[in-house]
Amino acid sequence: MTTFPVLSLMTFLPLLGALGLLLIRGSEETVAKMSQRIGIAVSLVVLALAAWMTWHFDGNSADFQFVEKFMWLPAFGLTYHMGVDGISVFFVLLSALLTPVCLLASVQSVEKRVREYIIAFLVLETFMIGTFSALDTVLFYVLFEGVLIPMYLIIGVWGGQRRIYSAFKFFLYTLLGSVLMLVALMVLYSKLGTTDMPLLMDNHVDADLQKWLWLAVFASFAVKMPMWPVHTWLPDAHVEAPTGGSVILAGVLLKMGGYGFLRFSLPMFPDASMYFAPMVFALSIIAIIYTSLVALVQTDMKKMIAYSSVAHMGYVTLGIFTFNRQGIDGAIFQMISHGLVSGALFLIVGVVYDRLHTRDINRYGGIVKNMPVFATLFMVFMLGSVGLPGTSGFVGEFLVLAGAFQASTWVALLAGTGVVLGATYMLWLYRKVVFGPANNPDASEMEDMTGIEKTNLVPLAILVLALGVMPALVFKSTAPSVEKLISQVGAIADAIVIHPDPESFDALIEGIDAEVQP
Amino acid sequence: MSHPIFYDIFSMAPELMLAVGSMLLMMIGVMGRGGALKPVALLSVFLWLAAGAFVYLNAPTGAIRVFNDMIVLDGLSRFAKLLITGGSVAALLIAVRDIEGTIMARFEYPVLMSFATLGMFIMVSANDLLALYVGLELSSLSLYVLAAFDRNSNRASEAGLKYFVLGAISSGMLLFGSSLIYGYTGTLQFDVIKATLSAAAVPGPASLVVLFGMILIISAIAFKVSAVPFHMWTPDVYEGAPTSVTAFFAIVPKVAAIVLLMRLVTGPFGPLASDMLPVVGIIAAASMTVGAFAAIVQTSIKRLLAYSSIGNIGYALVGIAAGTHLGLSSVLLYMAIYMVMTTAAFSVILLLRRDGAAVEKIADLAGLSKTHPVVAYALAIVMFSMSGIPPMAGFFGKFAVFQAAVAAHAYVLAVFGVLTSVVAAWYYLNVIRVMFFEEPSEEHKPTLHFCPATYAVLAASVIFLAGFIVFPDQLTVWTANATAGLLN
Repeated sequence: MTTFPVLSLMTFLPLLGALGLLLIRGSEETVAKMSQRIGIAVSLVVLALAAWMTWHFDGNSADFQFVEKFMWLPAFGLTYHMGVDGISVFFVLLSALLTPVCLLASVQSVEKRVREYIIAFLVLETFMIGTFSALDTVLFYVLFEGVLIPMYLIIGVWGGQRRIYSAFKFFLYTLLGSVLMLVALMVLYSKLGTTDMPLLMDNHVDADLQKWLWLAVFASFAVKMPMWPVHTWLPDAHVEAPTGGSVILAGVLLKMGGYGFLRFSLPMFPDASMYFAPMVFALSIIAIIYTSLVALVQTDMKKMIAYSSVAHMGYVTLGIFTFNRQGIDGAIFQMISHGLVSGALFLIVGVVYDRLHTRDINRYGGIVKNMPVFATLFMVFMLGSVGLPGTSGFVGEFLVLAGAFQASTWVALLAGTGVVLGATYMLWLYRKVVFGPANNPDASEMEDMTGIEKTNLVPLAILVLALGVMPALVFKSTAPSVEKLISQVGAIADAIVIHPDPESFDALIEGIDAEVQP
Repeated sequence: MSHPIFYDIFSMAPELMLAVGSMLLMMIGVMGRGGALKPVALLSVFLWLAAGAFVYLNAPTGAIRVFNDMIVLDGLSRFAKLLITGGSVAALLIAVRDIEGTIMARFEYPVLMSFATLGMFIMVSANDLLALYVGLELSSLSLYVLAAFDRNSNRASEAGLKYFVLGAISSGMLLFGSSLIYGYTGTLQFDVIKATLSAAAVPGPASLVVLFGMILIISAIAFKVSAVPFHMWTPDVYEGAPTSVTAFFAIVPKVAAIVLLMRLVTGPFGPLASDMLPVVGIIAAASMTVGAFAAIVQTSIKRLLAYSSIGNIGYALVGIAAGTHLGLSSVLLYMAIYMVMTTAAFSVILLLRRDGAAVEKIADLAGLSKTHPVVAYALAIVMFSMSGIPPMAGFFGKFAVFQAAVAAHAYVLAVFGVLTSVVAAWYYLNVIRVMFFEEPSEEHKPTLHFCPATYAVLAASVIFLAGFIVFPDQLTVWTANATAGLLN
């Protein structure tokens, strides 16, 4: 492969751009304009680099690619180790894709402290891309945790009415989970003497200790994901965050939880992952059913989409802990799809919010007449969220359910009800906002989408449809890495199958099946 | 012991320079009458820098013992003296503009700091309980006077008196503890105490005497570093003393006292580690808890920083409680980073004026990000760093001590530490909330002092805190070397 340090470049270019923005001088208006242009330009360069990287990514290899490795802090064995495999490459691309989208969306909706807003997003992009490419546990932690700083400011400075409460809740919830993970990472280092993630995936601590460490790591990623019952920060944060903040939060930050499960929990603590899988199934099913029901009674659009995110993330955790090809593939795909769909849905809400300054569903109605383009795009994403065949949402949910079926029929059955519930609230939302009687004159006078809004949403709509028709775009690159992941877990799974047959994949599934059924 | 006397004197040159120089400065000050503050302050800075340069250049190989083994010069004392020098210089640079034009604008101010610095130099080099006492008292007495330096202020006088009375009690404990140790071992010299204690399989009642003495001495040091349960004076003294003096209190003496504790724990009391380290661990846990919870309700910045320093000392003590080389070097790393964070925080406070004095209330900072964005961002970086959020330097300090605790199987302490740091994050975030999320109110609007020296100190500190992540290696190498021979 190439030695061009594309990952570092993508990680630190936004940071450089942010520092550059500090140098702009002039009136407030010029500074705002210049910052927007430079910010968008920098993030587009990063997107181009990400596209280049994805293009040159060797989908037939399960190894980490574009690897960079230097000593960083030898006293504690820390290295600066970056690289991507089939699992992380799309998350890097997703981060690089959604940042310019957010910045573009802010051109119309953010009026105060524009420069700081752009800086916050660029710094955030540095941390996001870094998190998905870090291959050293502490480097990962540093970047994973660093995300809190810009996000705290984004919610707190540019947020809505209850922004302070939400910003604190977001920060402290996430921090509480994360510090426990930090202790787990320290224990791993003191036991195995390395912070190198690929090495840790191949060398495990004994099964009893794994359980403790798994729980500590779980605390972090379950909060980030978020899983029921630690999801309560998410609706608050989503509702109060500015549009761009919600998009990044739903689009990328939640994926850090799922990514963490795939990168840490499964390969590093396989025994514990097996042991705790039934618990994860239970929590995922509760998340899917309960939060769908909660979403059903919301009158705030952002809150409804936020709860739907929790439900959709329930599929992700469910899929990951089935330990089979369909489940994990489905989970990864569901994360990417959800990143696009829910990010776009928050943009959609932002479009009408910018016009009417309310998120109350009842304040809208019948806007299909005056906003046909909006109605069309909204429909695409709404159907994507429902999981209609032909959209990306279908692929993820279907595969997760297929994977869950192999693990347990009951799990799949219960999770399946979420699909119905999801359709219920999303269709209801769409009907109330877009169709229905036009009772609100101000809603009927709203103008259709502007050029910038279309520029932002049309590519996302195309991606949602394209991935729905050609999921292989993703799977051809993820396949080897997922196989490797399953083999890392599977090596343990063999041990618990009553009649092990290493050649047969079915035997493996039966083994897990026997394990998870009461 | 076998050295010729002039070798001893040469080795102690920094201390002698400080002693003679401070007295000369006092004479210069007297002759200069009023208005001698600035020249004396400038000369003090040069004096300290010269002493620091000597310490830096005269790097000992291994541990050198001079003056009949009363004084030890090793990597630890050298590193600590460099930290103390840097801290004192920074504390004076940010103080001068603050005391100018007030009743405190007197040449005694830098001279007292100079004597305090000398006392701390002796503390970190002490290899004998008597040398320890002399150094500790010299620095403490200078600090008592500094605390009450604003003579017309009732609060400052109260702070000085409170500090003095409680400090005297702790000195009493130190002396009592020393006498018990002397009674058992028949010596005050650290190496001999260590040898005696490790040779004797300490028998019943006598061991109680030794334990008692040790606990008393550790309590006295705990008082100096304001570790729980000897922390009560800290918030009052921090709040009452003039802000520039508070800055000095917060930045420098704690480093000296922590280093002293490290030397006691590894030196004379090393053989008692199994009895002593749990005590240190409990003190650490209590300090972290009090520092985290008590700070939440504070409205004064200085009281906030007082509780924050109590908590920070708790984290540093975690490294000592680990009782390993990694732990000790982590403590030094932690203290170095803590010093920079405190310097930066006080630089900001001293820059911001309201009604002719440095700001006192957290509410005074409302909307600072709009009125004075540069200092607001600087303080935000400091606050994130203090709460241990990566990528700031404060994270690496915490990471180092907790890693040391985990490696020493002190899991409970590590988990305790990270959980209290989450609680503590609340009030650091609260400062950021006030600066960034609130609108500036007209009546609380602080003005900005123009002071190039303070700006320079602030800029250097903030660049260190934010940039530490890029080159974290060098400092850890230094701290590892500084603590290398301690546990043998």
